[in-house]
Amino acid sequence: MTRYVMVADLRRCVGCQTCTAACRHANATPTGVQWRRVLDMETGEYPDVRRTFVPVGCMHCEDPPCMTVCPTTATRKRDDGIVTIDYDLCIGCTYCDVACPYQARYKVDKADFAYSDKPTDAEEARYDPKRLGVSTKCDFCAAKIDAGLEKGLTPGVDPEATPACANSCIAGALHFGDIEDPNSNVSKLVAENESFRMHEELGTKPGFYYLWDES
Amino acid sequence: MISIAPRRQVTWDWRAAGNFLFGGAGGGFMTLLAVFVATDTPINNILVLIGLALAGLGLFMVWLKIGRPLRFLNVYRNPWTSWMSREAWVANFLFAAGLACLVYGGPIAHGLAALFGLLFLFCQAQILRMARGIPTWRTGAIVPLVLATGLAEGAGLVSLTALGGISLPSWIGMAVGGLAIVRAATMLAYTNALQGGQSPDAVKPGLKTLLWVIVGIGGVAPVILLALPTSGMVAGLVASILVILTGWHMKYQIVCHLGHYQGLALKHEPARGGAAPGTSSRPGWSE
Repeated sequence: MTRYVMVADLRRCVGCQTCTAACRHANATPTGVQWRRVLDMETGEYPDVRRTFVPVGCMHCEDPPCMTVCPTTATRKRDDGIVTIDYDLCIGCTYCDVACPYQARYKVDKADFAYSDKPTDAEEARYDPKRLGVSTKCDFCAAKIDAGLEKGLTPGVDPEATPACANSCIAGALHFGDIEDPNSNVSKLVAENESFRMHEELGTKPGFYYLWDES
Repeated sequence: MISIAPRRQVTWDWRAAGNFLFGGAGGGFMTLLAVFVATDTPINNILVLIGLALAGLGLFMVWLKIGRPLRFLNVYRNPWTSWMSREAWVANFLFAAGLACLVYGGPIAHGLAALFGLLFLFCQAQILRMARGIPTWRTGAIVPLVLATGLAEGAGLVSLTALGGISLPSWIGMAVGGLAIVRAATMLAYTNALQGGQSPDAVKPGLKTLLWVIVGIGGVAPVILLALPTSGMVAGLVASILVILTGWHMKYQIVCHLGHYQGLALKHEPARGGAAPGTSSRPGWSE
């Protein structure tokens, strides 16, 4: 079995948002929609304060609440663990949005462009009306993974088969791979470091690991 | 937009709330109609139509909200796991049973309409229960609260039919008062279930206010009105209106104003620059 996951090393992330920009470029998401986002968390009180950058997005849960509640079966989980949305089936009820504990979903009802009411040439070329009025979210660049696998490439190792956010990370904080493969980069990182998954107590079994210290 | 601390969800607005307001009242009304109003009276057909219209109005408001209204038939595709899909299916059965009441009448048709009205209400409660991203919705205590609220509103609406000259059993007032008290008890259980670390700080003042509204204005006040020795029809009607309006207020508040997301949290802050790792961080939650 294969289960693709993302690993974020919180010690390395510098909050540069390059992953956010790479995701927006790769997926042509509209203004305000960031499938990969980096939170800037400030905690503590002076002089004992901390600042942590936390990449977030769809956690591709093993037990995705968004899929359970979806009345249309538009949200599905593939055999490799990637949670997808069929934009031709979704009715835009946003039940998935309130079922997701990670605020990973977006719905845009009207076309919105960056600089004016009209799209730029690049926006026009990549404008996808299928995404209007439906829920959208990160799919780990599934099309890219599939295309890479067809060429015999390894997701997480070969950039051509790896999500844009992980490819673009300047700090080596984001890693992608198959957690079921004990020799994969992500399996080794999780084994060699202390890690947690967000909101594990809710039973969603997210596919997004955060590294926070050495083992 | 995403936020770290829990923020209010805005994707389910007044239109989504309308499904719980009118659909819930319609389901409760259809259930209690079979109990209180003789099925062989012509006026009963009008009441059945009113009940179906309420449920239909709720569903219509959801239809107004969805992003792709022309694809609404897709809502039937997942009755295996989705309570929204199940609600849509049950609504069909409810309308079919209502139609059978109008065409054939009789206790079986009315009994089925009552059963599907109750099931419709149960689906609505489960829809909220399964929204795992919203702490004030996902608690198990929401199920009895939504059920009791729908039934209390249904009893209130049945009581209001007296305005149309319909003869009701003498214990309709007791039913309205009793269900209002049951609802107040489920509201107390609901707010207790959300104490401490079970809900974000931002919703706690609103929950407290809502508890007083449901217990005081929607529970104690109607019971006093109904229990007064001088209580007449007007007092009974005012009590019923209080029960209905407070129920609608409560559902609107829970859906539109107290539906805050879980928010984001760190179980451990990272060890950086040679420093020791930090503790957990959960902005917007004091416990």
